Amino acid sequence: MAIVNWITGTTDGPTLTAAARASCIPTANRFVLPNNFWWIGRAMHIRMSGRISCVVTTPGTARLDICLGSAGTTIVFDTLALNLNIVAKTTVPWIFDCLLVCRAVGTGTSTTFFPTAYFASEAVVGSPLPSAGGNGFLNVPVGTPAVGAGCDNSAASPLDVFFTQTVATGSFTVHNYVVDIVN
Amino acid sequence: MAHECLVMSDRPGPIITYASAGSPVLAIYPEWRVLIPAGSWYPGKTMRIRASGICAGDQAMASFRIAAGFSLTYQGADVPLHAVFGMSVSNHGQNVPWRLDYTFVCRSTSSTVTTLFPMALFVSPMIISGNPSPSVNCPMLNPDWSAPVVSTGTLNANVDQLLGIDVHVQTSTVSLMFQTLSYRVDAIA
Repeated sequence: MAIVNWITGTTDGPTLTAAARASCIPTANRFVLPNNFWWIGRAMHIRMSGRISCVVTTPGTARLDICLGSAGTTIVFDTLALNLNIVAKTTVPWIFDCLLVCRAVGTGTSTTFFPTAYFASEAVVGSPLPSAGGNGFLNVPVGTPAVGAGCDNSAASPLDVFFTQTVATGSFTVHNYVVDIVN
Repeated sequence: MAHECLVMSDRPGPIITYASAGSPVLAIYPEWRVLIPAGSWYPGKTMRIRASGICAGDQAMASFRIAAGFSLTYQGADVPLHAVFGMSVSNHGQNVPWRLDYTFVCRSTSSTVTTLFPMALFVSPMIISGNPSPSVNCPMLNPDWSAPVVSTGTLNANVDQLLGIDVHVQTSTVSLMFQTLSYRVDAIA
């Protein structure tokens, strides 16, 4: 079947500066998927980009997670903590691409997804200046790939993306947020 | 809306070579420039360009720029291209692959300034790096080096526009070969 665009953000998400976990997408783009939306093999493709800043020496980590579930809080995908560049970066671009394929459906916590994803930015640890080398590219999660937490397919499910940084000296903003339903 | 493929190349683009600075912008794929009709734009309209090919150069090549834009005039880097990005590609390479994935989302429309917000990546062993060998590393770039911003310029949403991509050598070089082998444009929203 055709690939269908489900969400396209046309405004920036909030600029997040606190050392806390918070929704990073534009509020207006927090879309609710209907109940019984998923079947085994159905896939969702999320692509996001924006700007990020981090400080020298102690930049902390960045982390993105995707949530579904009746409250929009079940973490179905988690990049885990991404080490940031120990060289200060100011409003450099980042891009995040995530394909989630439904592996199982059911009630309770039995609807699960398997990810294929990456995060790339000059703000990733070890990235040189663009005039000296390529941006850091991380296949995520930065651990063993596995299905995330399960959600309830019998309930309507808000789709949300959260960002977490571990120090309050960084900054993160979503500029583009595009969600496609692949099949 | 469903994704709609507007352009799918069925043959390679022209081989671009370059021997001196100041050359005009060169068309990668002039025959596949696609007409975007007047009135097509609205906030949220999204298009995606995916292209790949081969390139070659030597250490003397300083940098080049790829431009994706509308009504490109091939007059140089100072024309008001919309959503333009560039990168340094100083590594030596012969017929090494490159890949471009470039999406832009319309933020606002008008008869004077229609703004687009890009997200993109460019991957190639030709990107400047301390590890140029593909067996060691294949670097990628988010092509917007500075803070990402909406496009600037005078894109008029009320008239027909041609969408295409060009490559432009930014600084003096002694050799360059650049060719597009596949090119695809999708309207995805």
